[in-house]
Amino acid sequence: MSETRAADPLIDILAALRDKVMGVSESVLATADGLLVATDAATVHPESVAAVAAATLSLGRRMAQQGETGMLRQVIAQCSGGHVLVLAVGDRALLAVVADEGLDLAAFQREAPAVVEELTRQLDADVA
Amino acid sequence: MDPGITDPRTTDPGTTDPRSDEPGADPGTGGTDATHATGSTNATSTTNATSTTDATGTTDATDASVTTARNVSALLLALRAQRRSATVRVSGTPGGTIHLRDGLVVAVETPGAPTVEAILLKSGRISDAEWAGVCVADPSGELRGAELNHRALVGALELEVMCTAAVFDGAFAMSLSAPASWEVTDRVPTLSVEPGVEPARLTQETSRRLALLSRLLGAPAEAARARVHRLASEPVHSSRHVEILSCVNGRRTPRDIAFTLGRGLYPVLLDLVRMEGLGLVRRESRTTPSGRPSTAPRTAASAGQSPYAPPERGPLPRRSPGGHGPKSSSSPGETNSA
Repeated sequence: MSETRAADPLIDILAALRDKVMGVSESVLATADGLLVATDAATVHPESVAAVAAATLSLGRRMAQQGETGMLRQVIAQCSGGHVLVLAVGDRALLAVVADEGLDLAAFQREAPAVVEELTRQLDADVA
Repeated sequence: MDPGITDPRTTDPGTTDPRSDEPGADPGTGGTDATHATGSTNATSTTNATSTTDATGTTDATDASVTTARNVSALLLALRAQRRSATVRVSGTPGGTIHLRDGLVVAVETPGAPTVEAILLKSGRISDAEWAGVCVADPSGELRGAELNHRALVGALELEVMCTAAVFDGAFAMSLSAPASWEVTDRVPTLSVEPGVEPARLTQETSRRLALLSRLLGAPAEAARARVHRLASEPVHSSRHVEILSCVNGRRTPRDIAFTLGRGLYPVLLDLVRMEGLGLVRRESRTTPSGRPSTAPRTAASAGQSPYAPPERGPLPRRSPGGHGPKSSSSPGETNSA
């Protein structure tokens, strides 16, 4: 199956994000409609995170629309024990990142655009 | 890693940068190879770090020592001389924030080590609801310690011990990476210790910790970023070791374990050294290269020999007496396939 072979570099990109940004512990790549594509996770349930992340991103877009605050960049859930971040990867996918309370947010914001671009490039092959 | 093989530079931790040879150093902060945050007492080369003071704008002699500080510990000493109450924001990977009152270090916040708030909440010492109540009662953010005490959630002495430990732990975590630049800004309220720690003492203690870990582990920065794996299930006697093993999953670094448990990075590292000695865990240096992974399609090994691979060894194609050219093929790459 070509699908499983294509997932390999995606996981590499997700694992590299964990290495580069202090505090990132898990990440899940999903389709825009919430199906799991690739995951670098140990404790969360990836399918559930993928589904909820898709809903979160849609809700965030609607919220941005209601607030008239322009394009949504990302949704950050700040919790007592960490963070969950959801951001779009192109038009057809999204990335959910689980991090602890010590997340180096500055480093995340620095690395995220490159990660999103790499993931987008990998996923572009799906429609090529 | 064999602790017997130590970096020769680790014999003098005050002047070495434990990260200078780390492959994972962020290229985004490249060119700042000189000093690490607080452990260095002697900058060996000048940095391109930009240090700015925007709080007062005055240019007397003491201010000059702040603007020309060669590293963070020199900066802290200069600010101590001025008895400044300020916030030093250090950028880097991970960087951090150092809070000063009268020049004394009262709090250090960095992604590299848990803050007092994280320790209180993660360890279950106080609940989320209790912490939320404290935040409501003290909107300024400056009196959280007094409020915790007032509500009989954490005793004054206990809080002082925790805050002091967090200051030293934060400084140690920041010393594991080279700062890219720093900036002195106005004071920002935070949960802090009274009266604070002398910068000189902080530098001294950080150097001592780096030296000790260098002796035990090799490069401490590398050890703090390595993934910890569980080894065969030897009997575990210490409850602290049991606690640490409960969150060892092959993905977490010592820093991640410290955050998961709500303990300091340095004590966790010391425990891991002992556990490594007992054969309970092993460290695995990260294998990912410093740059981004290649997005070139990876071909499976079965796809065949690389076109760039040298030809297999063997006899060259032989010309037959008939004079019809080489028997098998004219390509030298394909040898005696028959």
